[in-house]
Amino acid sequence: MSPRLLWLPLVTLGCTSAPERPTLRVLAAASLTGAFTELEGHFIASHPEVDIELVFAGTQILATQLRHGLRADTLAAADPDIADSLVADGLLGPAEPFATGTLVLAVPAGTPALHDLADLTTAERIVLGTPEVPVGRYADALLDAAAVRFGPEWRSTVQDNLVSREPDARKVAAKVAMGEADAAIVYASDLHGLGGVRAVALPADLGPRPTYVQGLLRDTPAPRLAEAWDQLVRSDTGQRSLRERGLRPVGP
Amino acid sequence: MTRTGRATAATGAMLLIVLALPVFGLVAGTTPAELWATMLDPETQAALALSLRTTLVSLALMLALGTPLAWSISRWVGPGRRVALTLVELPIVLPPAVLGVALLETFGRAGALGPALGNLGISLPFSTAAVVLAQVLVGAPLYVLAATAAFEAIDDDLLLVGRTLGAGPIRAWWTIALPIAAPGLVSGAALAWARALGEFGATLMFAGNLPGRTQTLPLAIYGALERDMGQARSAAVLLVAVALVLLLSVRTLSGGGARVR
Repeated sequence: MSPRLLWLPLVTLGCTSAPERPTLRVLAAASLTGAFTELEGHFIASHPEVDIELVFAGTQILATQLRHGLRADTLAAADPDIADSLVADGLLGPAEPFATGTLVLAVPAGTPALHDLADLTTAERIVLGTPEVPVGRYADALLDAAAVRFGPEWRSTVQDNLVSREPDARKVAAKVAMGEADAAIVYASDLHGLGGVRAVALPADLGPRPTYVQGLLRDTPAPRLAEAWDQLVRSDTGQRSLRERGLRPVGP
Repeated sequence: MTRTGRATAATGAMLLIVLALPVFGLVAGTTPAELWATMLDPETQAALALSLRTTLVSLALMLALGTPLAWSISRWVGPGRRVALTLVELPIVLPPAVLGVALLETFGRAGALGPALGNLGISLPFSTAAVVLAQVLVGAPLYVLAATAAFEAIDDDLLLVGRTLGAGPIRAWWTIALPIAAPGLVSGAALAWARALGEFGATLMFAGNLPGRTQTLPLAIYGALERDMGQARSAAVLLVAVALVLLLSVRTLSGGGARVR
């Protein structure tokens, strides 16, 4: 083979074929995977000429990628503070709430003994999110608030039985679904469609209420498509998808 | 150097640059002050200490079990040889996170061997032993492949000469085969150790992430990415520095980058 031929793979990689189609790139927190994937189908039905790309990751990771030049049209964040910092940096336009999440205690389906947050001390292996991601930070706040009610001994037992802090909500839920963890604190939406897991409701007056916000990126090349996506998320169709997965839509 | 030789070197240099550039980017983006602050950070220190401790145990296991395996494969004539080599290579192909799931489904509480291990009072997931197991799984193939190649280069006649001079089989292996294969074994071991040091996906899935118990340096770096990019970057520079010192010193000890043949 001639040395010049060695260049061939690189050259072909650089080529793009087919005429340009308008594209819409939607960034979203990992916990919105189910609802947004369903909405993607609705969007394609009403905009068949558009290529839509959904990117799911932890909100903080998406923010880091945006700061390093990732091009996108909309961002749905699980943490309003992170969205605010992107707004302050001039990357994101105004971000408005569209849903709130509910934290639940996730336990394996076959453990009837655990039916209340107070029983969490009976779980030998507890898994939470890392303190850096919203699901972990909310869990810490919730446990600290619960400690006031159940006592410091309850809190320290829970801490002793903590075996792992996972980097995103889906991995936290997966550890319970795989039967490796006895209990975890996750969003109700993460348990949708997950077999072998039971959700235990948490005291409504305890802890924070996770809020999801969505906004358009400042440099979106397709603001009208981005606007259409945002409207779909806030529409009746969008709200139904969110509600079906344990999220609570926030009305306009 | 001939014209062809120069062209070859220039083309090869491009790959070298592609390989090295991201590491330089990482180092260039880190300030000495950041690096110093990270080295003094207790969580980073705990993660580095756990990384060193677990990878040393992993290395010892890989050497103790991998050397006999590599030797057997190198002397094995017959169809089973190719099967054994392929089994050794398989973990290299699999994404580490998948290896982690596979480990859970084998040794986890709900895994195939979980109940049996549970009866013995052994619980691997979320333990430091799980960290070691994940590291061995990703590192051992690299060592075994390198060691097999090194052993295959040894002429059986040499061992035979040793035997005729009165050495027992073990003594002949120890005094003849091992020294000849040593450079290959050492560089294979270094590569396997470095791979174990950088292991992330399988560890996260199988061992979880708890500071002090299962949070190795790569896991701590991933956690820091969510919080403080500067700390993540400088912790990564620390990881690169440790690996660089090890790989370079091993290359020097085992006869350096000098060509053997």
